[in-house]
Amino acid sequence: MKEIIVCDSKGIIYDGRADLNEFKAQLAKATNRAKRKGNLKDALDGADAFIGVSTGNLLKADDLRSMNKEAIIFAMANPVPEIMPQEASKVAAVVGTGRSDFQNQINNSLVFPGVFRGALDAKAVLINNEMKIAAAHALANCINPASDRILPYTLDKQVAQKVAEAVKNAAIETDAVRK
Amino acid sequence: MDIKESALKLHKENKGKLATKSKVSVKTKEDLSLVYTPGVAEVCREIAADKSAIYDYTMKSNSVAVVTDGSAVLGLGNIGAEASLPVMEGKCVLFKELADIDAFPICIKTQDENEIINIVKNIATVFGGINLEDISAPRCFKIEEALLDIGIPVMHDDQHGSAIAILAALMNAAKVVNKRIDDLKVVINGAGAAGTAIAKLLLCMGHRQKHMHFCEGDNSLRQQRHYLRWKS
Repeated sequence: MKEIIVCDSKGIIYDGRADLNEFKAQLAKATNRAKRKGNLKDALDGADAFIGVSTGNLLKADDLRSMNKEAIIFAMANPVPEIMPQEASKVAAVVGTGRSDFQNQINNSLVFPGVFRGALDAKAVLINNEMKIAAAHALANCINPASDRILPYTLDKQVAQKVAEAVKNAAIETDAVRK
Repeated sequence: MDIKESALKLHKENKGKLATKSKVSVKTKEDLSLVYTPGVAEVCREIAADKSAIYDYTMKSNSVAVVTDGSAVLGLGNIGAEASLPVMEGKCVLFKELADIDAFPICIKTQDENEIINIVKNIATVFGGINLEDISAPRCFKIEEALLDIGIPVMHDDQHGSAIAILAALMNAAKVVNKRIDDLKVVINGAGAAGTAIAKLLLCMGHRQKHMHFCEGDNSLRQQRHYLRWKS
């Protein structure tokens, strides 16, 4: 990632913002190197991807026009996304949500069965970052992506198997396993 | 019938979605003497002599507890332990259907962090893994952190399950638009459980060296200590 900016309900999180709890303060130190300030719309200026895990109906298509070309929008708020897919698609190249009734559902059901299967099979003592990243690669590699299909179908049983295999291997490689 | 009525009907007719199942049959006195006393005592002695044998002789190696305090359930918020059970049962059904894992819902009545930590530590005997679920931020960070070194995998799914799914989606979306994932400028809106975990995962992936301190602060140092303890 070239840059990561995290916003909360009060706007961009930056190092030194007065009202941050310890966890947000930790985030502020590791993200937003340019120490940008402002609101969500300011943050979107020049961004390639928006990941919303907040509340519904925050953005309009016009708010995305300052983003870089071929923008990626993941509006994950449930049940109402930060921006509805038909609205986001006016500007963005790829749009995903958490919902099963729109294309590109991004759902953790694709993840947790395989992650735990792999961890149990490896006799892992914990789930470390390497295992998580391996899971993401395995999940991504389940399909040849297109703009309307970036992840496999949620109930595809092969997904958990592939994720499990990758997680198991990563656990063994990083020695995160019981003897 | 709409989805709300259908869902109520499904849950009421089945009285929930989950049941336990025996792996062995108990038809004769001999069966009984193996499954239960006196035969089972020998298995207990084995485990008492070597606690790691619990993985060979019991359900532990394939069981996961789905643990919640009901404080951040779906988009419904703090609806409490009782109301969270249908979600946890559903999660357990998916564990079984998609990964053949025997998962069990645990809905804890207290929302005191230290009490939750202690409860999970003390029930971990039975389980090969702990899936923390629908626990509100920032409480979930402290709870998960305190449980990282209990010797079995613990994962707060609202954080890491979501982060992994989103990272995979981002990898493939980047492919679709012909951008390198390392070149992306990403805005995350929401600094709760999912938002924080996504930021951390992206940082630990993309800027391994630069943000090493951050990843270590997360769990790498803890992992190292932990590996040493487990391997010794």
